[in-house]
Amino acid sequence: MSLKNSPWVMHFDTGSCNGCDMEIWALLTPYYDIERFGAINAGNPKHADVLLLTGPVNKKSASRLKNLYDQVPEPKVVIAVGDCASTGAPFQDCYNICGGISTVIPVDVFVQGCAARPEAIIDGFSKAIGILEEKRSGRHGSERGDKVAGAENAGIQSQAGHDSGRGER
Amino acid sequence: MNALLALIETIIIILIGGLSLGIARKLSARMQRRIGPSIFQAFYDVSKLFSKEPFYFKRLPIVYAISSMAFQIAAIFILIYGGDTMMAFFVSGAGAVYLAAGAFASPSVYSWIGGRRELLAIAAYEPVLFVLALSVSTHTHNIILIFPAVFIAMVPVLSVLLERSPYDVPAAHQEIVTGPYAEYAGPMLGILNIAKWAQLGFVYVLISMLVWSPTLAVNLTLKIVIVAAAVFITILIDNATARVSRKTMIVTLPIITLGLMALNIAVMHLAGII
Ligand code: SF4
Repeated sequence: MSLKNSPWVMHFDTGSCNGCDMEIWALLTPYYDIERFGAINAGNPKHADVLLLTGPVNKKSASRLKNLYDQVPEPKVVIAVGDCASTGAPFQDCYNICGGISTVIPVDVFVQGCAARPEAIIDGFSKAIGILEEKRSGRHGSERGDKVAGAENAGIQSQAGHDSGRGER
Repeated sequence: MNALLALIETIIIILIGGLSLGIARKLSARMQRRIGPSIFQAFYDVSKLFSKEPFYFKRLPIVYAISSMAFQIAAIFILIYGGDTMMAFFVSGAGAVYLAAGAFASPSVYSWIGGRRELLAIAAYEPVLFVLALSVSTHTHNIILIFPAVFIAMVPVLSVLLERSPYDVPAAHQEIVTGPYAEYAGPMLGILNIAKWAQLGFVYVLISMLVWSPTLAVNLTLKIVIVAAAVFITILIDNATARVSRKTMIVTLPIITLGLMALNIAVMHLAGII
């Protein structure tokens, strides 16, 4: 009950065109008012429960993204907002792009759209809150028979160090 | 028996402090024509924080966080148990300083900036709180009729404590990633939140002591009305102003509030009332 009522958000831009960031800021306006879910924009990874990420992850931001992700205490969920955060789409095959958030850290919810509409972001957000609650009670992934929560992302996580290491060079 | 009663009252006051934070957020949202969070949001937040993974980096900040909470709670208890008001004031002040000390005990720069700003804010609002504590400990009955300026002076102080504009310099939300709270996570942040509730509760008790009535029902109503009025005015000002710089805060806050009080005393003295 408690996690559902107070999901604190941290927003990080991994090199997007800023289109989706504007839609995320629109969520705080009276029209969409995401605060009615108890959400606040924490701006601090140590206080956050939900990571709201945009951008295709350029090589420079990969290590920062990994660092921020590691600083968020469990349980946490990651939302990739926009097509470029999901697949790297408009920037696919650019020389400086990792190609989506999921190449660096495990992602729980993908929100599509370029730019993603605020309604879609809220939809993804409420899904993410559900996953957050599942993670807390240890039910996450159990319907698929996973033994450890988030085990499906284990491979990706080990990939993360590789990618961010490459970003440093 | 008496102590037990005082303890229960202390807990109720701490919870009122927490409730006021939720009400403040709701009020602020309604003023911006938003729906806003539940008025019990502060309780949801803290219960969530306690269910998060403990994420500690050093032991010293934890000691400071727990001392901060303990001192704030002790301050309310002293006040309720009938102890000296000034004593309670200094104990609460120590709790506030422990928050800044906790910020300095961690290696983060943001935390340090926050700690420094917290100390500046304490330097700005503690003298005002001191005068309030002094006036309620030296006078009885309806102090607000003699010293209305004391009530007005509490608004800037509440603005610091509720972390509202224009004096929300220490935490400053995004600007310095919540300042003194930057390095705390999970349960420790929850403990600091409870310390904040207790500090607010302490100030509310002081404000409520400005009014008094012999009948219990009228007395309680008066006390609730005066505290609610103070919170309401603070939120109204929050929505109409922007954050000031720390320099402006340290200059304007004491000058406005203490100046008003001095004027108040001068006028009352000339009128022959005190
Ligand atoms: S999805 Fe499109 S609009 Fe959104 S950040 Fe990426 S490129 Fe910009």
